[in-house]
Amino acid sequence: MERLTQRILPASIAIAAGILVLAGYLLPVPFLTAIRDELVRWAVILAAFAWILGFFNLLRVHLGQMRRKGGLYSFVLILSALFTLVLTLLASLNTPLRFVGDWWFQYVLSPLQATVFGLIAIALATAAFHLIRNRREVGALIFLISALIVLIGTIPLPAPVGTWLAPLREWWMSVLATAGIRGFLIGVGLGTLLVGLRVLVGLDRPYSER
Amino acid sequence: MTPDLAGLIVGTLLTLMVLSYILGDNPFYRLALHILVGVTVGYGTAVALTMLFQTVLPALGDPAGRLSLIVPVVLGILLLFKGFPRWASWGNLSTALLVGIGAAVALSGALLGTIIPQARAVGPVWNWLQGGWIGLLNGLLMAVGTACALLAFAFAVPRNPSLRRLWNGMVGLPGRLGRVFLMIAFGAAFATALTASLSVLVGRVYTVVEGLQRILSIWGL
Repeated sequence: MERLTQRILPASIAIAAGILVLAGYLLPVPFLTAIRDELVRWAVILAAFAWILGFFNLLRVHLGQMRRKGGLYSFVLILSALFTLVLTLLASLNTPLRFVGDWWFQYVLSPLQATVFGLIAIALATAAFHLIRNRREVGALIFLISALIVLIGTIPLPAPVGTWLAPLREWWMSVLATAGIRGFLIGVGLGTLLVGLRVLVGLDRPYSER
Repeated sequence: MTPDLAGLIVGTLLTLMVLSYILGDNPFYRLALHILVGVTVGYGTAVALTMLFQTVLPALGDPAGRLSLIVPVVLGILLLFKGFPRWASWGNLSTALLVGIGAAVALSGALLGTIIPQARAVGPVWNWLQGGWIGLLNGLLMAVGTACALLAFAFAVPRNPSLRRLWNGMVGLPGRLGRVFLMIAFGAAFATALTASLSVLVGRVYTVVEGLQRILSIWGL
């Protein structure tokens, strides 16, 4: 009985649902397309439940960490999460509160996200510096030359350098870099295809505890 | 104090807290990062809850809609049992459905959205010829580059020694050439990401300077 509920039933559900959705995408049959749409709708609802589960898990972990050293950060995280949750829910129901929700989004969430994204520039520059210092090999050299061509080519330089650097950057991006990225994307696609197939034939069962 | 001014002060302070990372890891940066995680998770949970209410509540009034929602809602409630180690296995059916559908969507997405369009985009020879001999050269370079970059991912090796030698001869040199194309692509992607994040950083620094100027002018400084 345990084998049925722990292994056979979850594997059957995953394989059946996966094959039905895949058939809905690959075969132009209206009946299969309707089943695919319904199953994808179910997955979206389940993903919302999964997010809520993740939210409670985050709260539980940080409630446990509050008593330890550096617990203030966990307290701030819980407070900001609960405040944002309540505020956003109230703002979606009550029109006068929408102003406060918008204010919170515009002056707290948006600057934080934008600045953290901006910090990537510092991290990337540091990484490039470490690459020059620690990895003196052909691959690293090609990487840096390519980055420099694209970076300097972006600047509108005067003639005579500007007249050949901008077309060189254009050719570099549209031929050489595109060829590399295309091979990389096809490789990632083939990897995804293989992992998906392994799940659909039941060789990989990440949903089963054993 | 107007809401806009209060927002400007809060936004400027938070931006400065994040930017303090330039001086090294410090408590202000960590505090700002924890606020960011909390706010993002809280906002995401509110969106998930709103989506659930908007999907489930209207369907409750319609018998057919009610029937179609029973399975996902029951499975969703079972999924919440994953939060309790003792009853975690109750959520396996929900996870299985999610993984099965996710795998199928990812598989079809990889096939129809990446592999086929990218392979088609390399283009036939007559398309290259439209650009003259330069077009032909570029087309050839792109086709060879794509194939070699793909071969750079060939990590499997045959066990038979003679087959292995043949395989290394066939894949070795194109694979090495493919790594050159990959490094060129990663360098270009690096430069593009650097340019994008740098423009956002400059925008944030500009906002901070403007905010500080406004705050100081209000205090008469």
